Amino acid sequence: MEISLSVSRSTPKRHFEEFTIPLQKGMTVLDALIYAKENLDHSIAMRYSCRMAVCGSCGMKVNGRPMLACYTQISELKSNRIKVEPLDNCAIIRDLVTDFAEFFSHHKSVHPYLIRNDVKEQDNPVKEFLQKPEEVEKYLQYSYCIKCGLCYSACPTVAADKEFPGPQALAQAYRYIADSRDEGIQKRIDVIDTAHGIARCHFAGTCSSVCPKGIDPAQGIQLLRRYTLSLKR
Amino acid sequence: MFFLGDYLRESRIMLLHYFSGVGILVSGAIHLVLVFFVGSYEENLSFDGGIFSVIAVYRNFAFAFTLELLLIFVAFHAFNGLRVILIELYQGKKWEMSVNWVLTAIAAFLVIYGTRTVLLARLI
Amino acid sequence: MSSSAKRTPPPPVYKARRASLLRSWLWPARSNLGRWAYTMQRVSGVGVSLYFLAHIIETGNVVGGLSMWSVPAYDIAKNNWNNTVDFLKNPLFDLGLVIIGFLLTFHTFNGLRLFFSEFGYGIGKPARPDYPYKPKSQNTLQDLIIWLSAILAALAAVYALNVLFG
Repeated sequence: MEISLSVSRSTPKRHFEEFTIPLQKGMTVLDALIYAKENLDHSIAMRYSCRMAVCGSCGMKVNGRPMLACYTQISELKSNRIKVEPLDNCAIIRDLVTDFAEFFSHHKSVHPYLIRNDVKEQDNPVKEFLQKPEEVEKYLQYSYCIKCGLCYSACPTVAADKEFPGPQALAQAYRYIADSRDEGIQKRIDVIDTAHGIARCHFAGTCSSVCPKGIDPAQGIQLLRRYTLSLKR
Repeated sequence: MFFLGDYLRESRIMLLHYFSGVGILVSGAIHLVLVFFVGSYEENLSFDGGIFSVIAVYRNFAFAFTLELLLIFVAFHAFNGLRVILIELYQGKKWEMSVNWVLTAIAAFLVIYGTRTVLLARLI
Repeated sequence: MSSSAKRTPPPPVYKARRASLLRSWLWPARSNLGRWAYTMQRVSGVGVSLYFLAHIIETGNVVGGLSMWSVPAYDIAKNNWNNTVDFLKNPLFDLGLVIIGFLLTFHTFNGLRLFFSEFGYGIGKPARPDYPYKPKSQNTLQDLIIWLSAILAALAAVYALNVLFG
């Protein structure tokens, strides 16, 4: 059994290159790409590392949908023809490698760390922060984010609005605001509640449907929006 | 109304957007019922005659007030929606200001023109 | 715009990615239902806005149009209005009204769904994710309301067809 893998190449002009890959049981899209790189064309550029959906390097568009190549079995695509493209909404460096500078700068802009009013105590803690299991549940799933950029490339607003932080950054903002140990809500809302901030999310939900780690950024953003809409602030 | 963006946070503008949507749902439903669901459509479109004809609806204070509210709600909701789409499509301080002012001008003209219609039609 | 002071300059990579803008912005190919609703909400919103513009201009004719800014005589106003109605009474405009009926109804009910979602209702509670990782915000209720608004929109179009053409 063989499959045909067409890979998007960026040099000299953007085009697709076809490879025929012998299919093995349990083969993932990343395995197929590695096979092509090892045996057929050494010049394919791609980014991967852990091969088990932990590092978030191998995000790419497989048959038109953003996916982690290492996390997608070829058998689950139910097709003999596989088309691999670089992620949308990012600049292409080469072939399947995209530039995440913008993505990470948005991530940094929402202060993705615990903010305490008492900085001295935070640096030299005398005891641990206590948290109930219910309080952990509120943000736990958002802390599983591996920053693979799939939601960022799937979001229709990010496609047009370069100043929109994107689902990943907004979900991270919610992750820290919902954390009972955090006290930086006002600081984050000042960053988010702008003309190109959270109000530009229109709940298309594509981010949630492509997330490989079961995170629900769309839900987090709506819950975060409730903080910005509440009149008591 | 959108140049208030310098004084109003974006979330406040969007709050107005959501609640003007609900306002349209109520006042628009009344407007549609008066045109489509009571009496005959032909008669409701006629200038004068039936109790729900054009002039009769304007002369009734409650109905005219509903129309005026609908006008204001839709003008805000529609042009804020267009603003959202336009500032998402392209970014920049200049572009944003021109979008805000041009859309505000059109919306203001429509509100003034529509209010004129309501007020003058009540006096005919 | 309160952000204007804090606006960060766009990173240099941006120019290169604008090429794929329109394709991934509005066209929802191979996407979830919510994304289709997003595109429909935009298209219907713009459509109804254009209708609103035309409608305000058109109803202005009941008092004599743009040129008349004092109380018009009854006969002139009536004549003006009847001319407007006659002008608009053709199958092309009626078909336009049918389409506007469809778009307006979809926008209304999908907008209600968004209203509740944006205040945090009907999107589930955050919880520990478990395989197969179905997102809670993309639940059956949401999908049901999207389909329901599409069906109600179709019914509204049928009703409008019946009133205008039947």
